[in-house]
Amino acid sequence: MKKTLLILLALLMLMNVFGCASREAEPAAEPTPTQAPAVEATAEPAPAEATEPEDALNIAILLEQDDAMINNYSLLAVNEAAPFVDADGNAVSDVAINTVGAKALVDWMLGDEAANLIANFGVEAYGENLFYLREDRPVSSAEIPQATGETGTIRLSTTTSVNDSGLLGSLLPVFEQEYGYTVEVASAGTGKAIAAAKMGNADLILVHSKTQEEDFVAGGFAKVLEGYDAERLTFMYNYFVLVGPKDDPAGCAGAGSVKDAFRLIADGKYRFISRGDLSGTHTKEVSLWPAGLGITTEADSVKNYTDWYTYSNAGMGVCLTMANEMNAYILSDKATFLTFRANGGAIW
Amino acid sequence: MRTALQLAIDLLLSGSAELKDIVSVTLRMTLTSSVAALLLGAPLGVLYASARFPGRKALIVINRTLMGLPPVVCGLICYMLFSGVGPLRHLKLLFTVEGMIVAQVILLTPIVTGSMETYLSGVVGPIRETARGLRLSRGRTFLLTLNESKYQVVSTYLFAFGRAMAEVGAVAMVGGAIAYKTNVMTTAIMMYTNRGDFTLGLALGILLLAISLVVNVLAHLLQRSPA
Amino acid sequence: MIEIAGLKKFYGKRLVLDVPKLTLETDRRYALIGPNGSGKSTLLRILAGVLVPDEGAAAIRGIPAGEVGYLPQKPYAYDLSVLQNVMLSLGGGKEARERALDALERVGLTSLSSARGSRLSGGEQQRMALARLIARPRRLLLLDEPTASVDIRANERIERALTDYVSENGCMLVFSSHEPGQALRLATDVVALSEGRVAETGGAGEVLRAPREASTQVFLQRWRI
Repeated sequence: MKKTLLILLALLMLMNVFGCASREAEPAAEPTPTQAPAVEATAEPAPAEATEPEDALNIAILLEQDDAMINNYSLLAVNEAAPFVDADGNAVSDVAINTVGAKALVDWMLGDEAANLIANFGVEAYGENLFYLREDRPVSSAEIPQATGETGTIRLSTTTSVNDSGLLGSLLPVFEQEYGYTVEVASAGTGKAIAAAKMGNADLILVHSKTQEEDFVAGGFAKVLEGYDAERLTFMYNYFVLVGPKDDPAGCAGAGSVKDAFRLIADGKYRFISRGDLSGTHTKEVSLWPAGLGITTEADSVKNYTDWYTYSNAGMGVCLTMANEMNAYILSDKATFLTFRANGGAIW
Repeated sequence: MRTALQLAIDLLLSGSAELKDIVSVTLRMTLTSSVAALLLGAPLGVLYASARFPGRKALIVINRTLMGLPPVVCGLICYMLFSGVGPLRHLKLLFTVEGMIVAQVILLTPIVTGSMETYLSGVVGPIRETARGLRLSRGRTFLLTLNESKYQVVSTYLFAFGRAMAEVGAVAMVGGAIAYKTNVMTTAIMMYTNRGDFTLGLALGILLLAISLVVNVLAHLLQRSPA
Repeated sequence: MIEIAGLKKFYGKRLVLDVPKLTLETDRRYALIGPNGSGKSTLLRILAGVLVPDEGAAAIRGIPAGEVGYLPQKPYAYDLSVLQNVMLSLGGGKEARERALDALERVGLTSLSSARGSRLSGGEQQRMALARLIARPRRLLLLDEPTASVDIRANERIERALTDYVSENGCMLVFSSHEPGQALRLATDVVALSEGRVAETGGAGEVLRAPREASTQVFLQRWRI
C-alpha cells in the first residue's frame, strides 16, 4: 500500500513540474498571407513587422524565394533488375519489387488530381503554398489499375522533410481509397532513404537531392517507366527559407540574395545551426556558403568555425528549437518551419 | 492559456484514430514479445541454474554477453537480414510488426534467462539439498523449484514488458515506423519531436508512463502474498 | 549399519575429510563432535548421498535408501504452508494429513500449521524441518546440527521429539552437535573429529568425561561437564 502511494505522489509531483513550467504561450494568431508566390530571380525580404503573425518565437523567416533555395522533388521508380548486392557484395537476383504498384503511384502523382491537391496544400492552414508544380514536369493521363493482392502494397521511401511537411499524409489517402492500394511510407534522411532502395526495401523513392538521384540512376537502380523519358521524374519544388533572429543582427533581410546573406552571417560570425546530417537540407545549405570557407557536409570542414557554426546532426524540428533557443540563423524547409511556428515553438 | 500537459491530455482524450492505432500496435508488439521471451527464456534460465552439462558455463557467459547487446546493433543486424537483399528476405519481416517482435525477442530472451538463472542459482542448491534429504523424487524437486521461483517469474516478466515498451532503436530500424502499421509509442515520440511537434510527443510520453504505472501497480499487488 | 572405508574428500587442494575406517552400528545413536571445520558436516553429507567422496566409500547396509532422512544445517523452508511442507515426503489423503499433524504436535508447531513456511523464524523453521523428516517412519536419521538456531525451550522439545521418535521406530541416529551436553543426552556413542580425521570414538560417557586425545580435550574444555 505504501509503495503505491509513494508512486502516485511522485507522479503528482511530476505533473506539477510540468504545469508550473508553462510559458504564457499566446495561441498563434491567423497567419496573414505573405506576397503571392512569384518565381522571381531576386530574393524577397520577408514582410515587415506589421504583417508578421504574433508568435512566441525568437526567430522568423528573413529571406525566401531565392532561386538558389529552390528544392526540387523527384520520383524515381526502383528497377527490379538493378544490380542488387547483399552485405558481402554478392549479387542478389530475386529481389521483390512491386513495379506495377510503383507505376500506379507515379502515374497518379503526375496526374491532374494529385496536381490539384499539391497546388492547394497548405493554403488553408497557413495561407500560402508549401509546394509548387514545375512547369516542365512530366504529366500522366494513364489509366491506373486497381490494386490486386500481389500489387496492393507499395513501399515508398522518402525523406523526413517530405514526410514532416504533411503533404503525403493528405495526398496518399486519396490515392489509396480510389485504387485500393496501401502505401507504406518509410521516411529517413536522404542518404538512408536512397540506401534503403538500394537494398531492395522500396518500390519507389521521393527525394530532393539531384546529385544523389543521379548517382542512383547511374548505378542502375532506377528505371524508365512506360510513358516517360527519364528515370528522374522531377515534378514539384518548394523553397528553403532563411530563418533567423527577429532583430536580424547580420542584416540578412536586406541582402540581395541568399548567398549574400550567408556571406554576411559568415563575416560577422553570427550563430548558425546546420542540420549536419547529410540530408537534402544540409546539402543545400553547404552549397550556399562563400567558397573560401571550405564548408562541406563533413564535420571536419567546419571544425574551425565552432564558435559560430553548429554542426548539430539532428532533425529539422530539433534544429529549429536550437535556433530558437540560441537566437541563431538556420536554413529550413518552409513547411516544417510553419508547423514549428504554429505549435508556438515552445516546448512548454 | 493551456499548459503543455493540458494540451497533451486534450489530445489523448480526443481519441484520434492515429493515436489509437499507435497504442494498439505498441500493446500488440509489447505483449507478444515479452510473453514469447518469457516462454523461451524462463525454462532456459531454470535449466542453466539446475542442470549440470558440459558447456553450461560457456552458455551462461554467452547469455550474459547477449544481455548487453545494444538494441541498435540488434536492429541493424535484423534490418540487414530481412532486407530486400538480405538472406532472410523471403520471410518478409522487414517493416512489419512481426519483424519488430523478432528483434525484441532477441533482445529480451537473454535478459529473461539471465534474471531467472541468477535468482535460481542462489536458491537451487539449498532447495535440492533439502529435497534430497527428504528423499523426494526428481520430478517433485523440479515442481518445488518452480514454485519457489514464481515471484521471480512475475517480476522478470514485468521487467521484460517494460523494456519491450521502452525500446526504440531496434524497432525503429526493423519496423520503419510506418504510420498505421509499425509506428509504436516510442518511435512516434521520436518522429514527432524531430518535427518539432512536442505536444504530441509529450502526450504519448505521458500515456507510456501511465501504462507503465498501471502495470507496476498491478505487479506490486500480485506480489503481496495472501496473509 | 554404516561402513566407511578409505573415505577422502578434498575441497580444492585441502583434504577436509580423511576417514580410513569407521563402522557405525545400527542400534546405536552417534553424536559427531568437534570444532567448526572438523569435517562433521562433510561426513554427514557424504552419508546422505548429497556429496560424492573423492576416494573410498561410505556404505549403508541393511537400510533401504528411501528410509534414510537427512537434515541439512540450514534446511530450506519452501514457499508453502507449514503443513504442506511437512507433508512433502508423504502421499495424499487423510492418513498422511494426520501423520503430518502428529509430527507438528511433537515439535510444538501445531498452531502454525497454516502459516507460510518461508515466513517462520529461524527456530520455527528448524522445528518444521524436523517435523518434515519424522512425518514418515525412517530407519536412519542424519542430522546436521539439529538445534543450531533454536532457543532453549524449543531445544528441549526437539530433543524429546527425537528421542521418542527414535525409540518408537527403532531408528539409527547420527547427528552432529556443537554442544557436548546434547551429545550426552541423546547419544550412546561419540565420534570426535579433528581437522577432518577421527580423533577418537567410544561410549558417550567415556569420551565426553574422559577424552583421551588432546584435540578432544581442547574442544571439550569450553564446556565443563
